[in-house]
Amino acid sequence: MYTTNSELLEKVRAGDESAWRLFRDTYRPLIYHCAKQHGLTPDDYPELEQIVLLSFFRVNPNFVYDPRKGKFRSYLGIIMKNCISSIFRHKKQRSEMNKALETQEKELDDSFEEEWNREWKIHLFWLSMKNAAEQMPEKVFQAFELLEMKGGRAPEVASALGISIPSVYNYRKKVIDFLRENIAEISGEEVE
Amino acid sequence: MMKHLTDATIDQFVKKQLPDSERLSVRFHLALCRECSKRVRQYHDDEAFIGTYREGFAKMNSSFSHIQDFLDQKEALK
Repeated sequence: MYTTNSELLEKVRAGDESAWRLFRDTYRPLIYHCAKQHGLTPDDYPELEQIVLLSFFRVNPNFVYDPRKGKFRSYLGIIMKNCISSIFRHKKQRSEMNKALETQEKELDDSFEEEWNREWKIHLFWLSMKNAAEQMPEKVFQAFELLEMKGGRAPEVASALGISIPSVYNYRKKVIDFLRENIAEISGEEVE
Repeated sequence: MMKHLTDATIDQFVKKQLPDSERLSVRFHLALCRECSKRVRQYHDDEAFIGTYREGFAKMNSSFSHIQDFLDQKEALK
């Protein structure tokens, strides 16, 4: 179940282990995907994840996320960009492929913000899909997933799940309404 | 009394999966039926909403599971 960023960060700061795991699991796909988009190799990902997550609290142990002061998305984006840059710098120090790394670093500067905003939207959808899978009856979510995300035809989906064709469409609609509301709810806590 | 379009027909119509002859009769029906026109518009909106995310979500899921597999394999080799 998704908890708002402020609540979650407060619990992490207070040393709540399960909140820390939830925080890590929530942002892991976004961090990995963003790292891949910017040319880091899979060997770099654990290091990146660790420094990104620790950066929240290491910079300022008393850090409290205040949504009134800015978007969580922007805050995490700045940390991500700095951490990716830092990995590039470390690599440059120990590598002979400086030219290629310089190009990657320049691309990071040029395109990060636009890509980050795009990835963030997908991340919200990813979270809402996860929430739908956890909170909705299994067949309801599966009908939607097979029909809309995996390109299935309604009769095949109905037969695979042992439900009627009208139910497939009814379930599809339920999940879409859930996703719309959930995305609005999650992104609604962000302050422009 | 006019028979309304089924959800399956609307789905195929919006996804352009209907044969031309059926497509034409759906268009004819929509010209006369406000309720079905509204349902088709709603279906278009829903398709556009999902369409915005479908590709990006598949990419994020795919890179996440590849990376997770890579890290799991690496962990297993330790």
